[in-house]
Amino acid sequence: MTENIQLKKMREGYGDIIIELAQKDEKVVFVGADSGGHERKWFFENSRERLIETGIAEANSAAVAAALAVEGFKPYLLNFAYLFGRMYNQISQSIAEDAYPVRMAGYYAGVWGFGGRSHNCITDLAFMRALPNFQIFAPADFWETKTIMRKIADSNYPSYVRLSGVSTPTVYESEPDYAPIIKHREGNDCTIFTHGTMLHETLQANFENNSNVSIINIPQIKPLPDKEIIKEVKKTGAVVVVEEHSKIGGLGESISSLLSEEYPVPIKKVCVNDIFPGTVTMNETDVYKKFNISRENISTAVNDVIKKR
Amino acid sequence: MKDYEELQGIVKSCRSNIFDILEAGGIGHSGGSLSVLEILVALYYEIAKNNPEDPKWEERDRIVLSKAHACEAMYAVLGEKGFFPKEQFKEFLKYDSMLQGHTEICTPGVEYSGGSLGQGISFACGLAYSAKLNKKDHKVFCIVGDGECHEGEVWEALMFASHYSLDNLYLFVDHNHYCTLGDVDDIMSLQPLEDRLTSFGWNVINEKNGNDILKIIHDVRKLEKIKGKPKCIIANTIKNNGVPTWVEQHIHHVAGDKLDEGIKEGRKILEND
Repeated sequence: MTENIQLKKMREGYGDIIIELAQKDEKVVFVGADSGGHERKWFFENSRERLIETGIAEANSAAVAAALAVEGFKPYLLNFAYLFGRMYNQISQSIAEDAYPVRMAGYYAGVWGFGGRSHNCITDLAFMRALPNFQIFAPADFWETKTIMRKIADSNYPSYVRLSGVSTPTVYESEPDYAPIIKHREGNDCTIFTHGTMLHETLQANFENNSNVSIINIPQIKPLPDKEIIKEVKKTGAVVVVEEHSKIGGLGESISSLLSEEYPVPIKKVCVNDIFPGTVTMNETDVYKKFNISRENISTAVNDVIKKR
Repeated sequence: MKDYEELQGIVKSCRSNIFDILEAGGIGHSGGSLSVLEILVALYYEIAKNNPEDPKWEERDRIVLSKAHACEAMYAVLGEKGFFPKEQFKEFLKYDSMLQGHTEICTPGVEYSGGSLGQGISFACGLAYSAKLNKKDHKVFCIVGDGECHEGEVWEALMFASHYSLDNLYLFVDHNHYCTLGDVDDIMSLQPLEDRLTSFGWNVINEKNGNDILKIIHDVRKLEKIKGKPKCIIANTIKNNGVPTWVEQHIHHVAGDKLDEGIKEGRKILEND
């Protein structure tokens, strides 16, 4: 893995697959609240009636999407990750309660961005994970976004896909096969679980004392692949979870909760503190340092957790 | 069309069902159920295409009770129409019962699981849009409460419906004038409601007597002729209609002695009517 890697937007991968699906299946519809990119443009130009635009009325968009699903359409709903908080009650009642297959994606998730505290959303996994009936995914790059979009196209459950809002390093060279967990490196000293943008950062980390670590990508946040996680942890007895999400309610807490009940081991979380991340316009490396989720933080956490074994 | 006597007979029978349901649960939303009853009877018995033998019949008209707390009225009408046996009334509010404390799709004939206000009208908009997209000619009827119109989402949905010219969508505002803590316009004024709805691009009838079933049916027939716009009936109704003591006290939820006394009073009126 080298630093000189192509940057691509997950959003582009998302849109590419929606267009591909919409070309093949006239039941695919796009629900936007003044949101969307090239996929919205495709609907606008090619199938105007399948673009259901609500204007900047997110609450309405969620419940409208639910009804479209009931009537046999396959609604894809895209908006800023933070706005899923605004739609939360609509998502809970109108979509999750009766498990209508509305496929949702939230971008601008994480600490990167000039939007500031209102927009840089590090709590989406916390609130979306709490909803029964939902499937939740967090792709690591442009390519894995495509894989996950194909996966949810075949699902009959409501789903939420977490996307970064900026161009991020590609980890994969083409669409990987779908798997709830993907092992990138095998080791005996510590198991690192990560998702999203942090997979690349973790793969770039240098581990001191020649530590031999497993690095595992978990794109499937919910349902959590419990058995596979425990199987991997048994090999090392020490865990670090890395994510561009609040330390409250993300994969870190999810895995901590699982292991505390099923297989207690030392665990460290490299996550964002319980803050509202403000505007940042610096480069990726500096941003991760700023929020204590850099490759250096990951190395330190690995060292610390190994000592506690 | 059924004659007035016959329709009134159904309304009375359904009101009696509401009392049975409230009695079984020991608590319930009497006010909004008794105000909306005639609208639901008009829909299920005269206006909307529906089939109790096949609640999911593809060609049916969709009825969305956005004010899902008026579940007792919905269950009373669905049970009367034969969507499920009336014996189910006894199960009201029991865990895992098909008759929950707000309407849910586990009840045959219920299209939408509600409870949190303002969402059913958005859902109805989605159903109406879907019908257009599927080139189907069924209609969508939605009932909101007047207090529910305080919700911003209602106005988002109103905009949506007129933007897409959803003339297959019919909205009833059950304007019973009271929300939980008082007069709806004292809590937060909706007025001028008719002008507001009209300015949002809807064709509106302000029905002075929303508890007159013939007037409701007549209003819908009139609106059916209008094309290109969503349609609305502001139905001025009486909260707790049929139980004068509850009307006087503006009861919203009822339980305990008040419930027993009100049911007794309501049943006596039904007997003597």
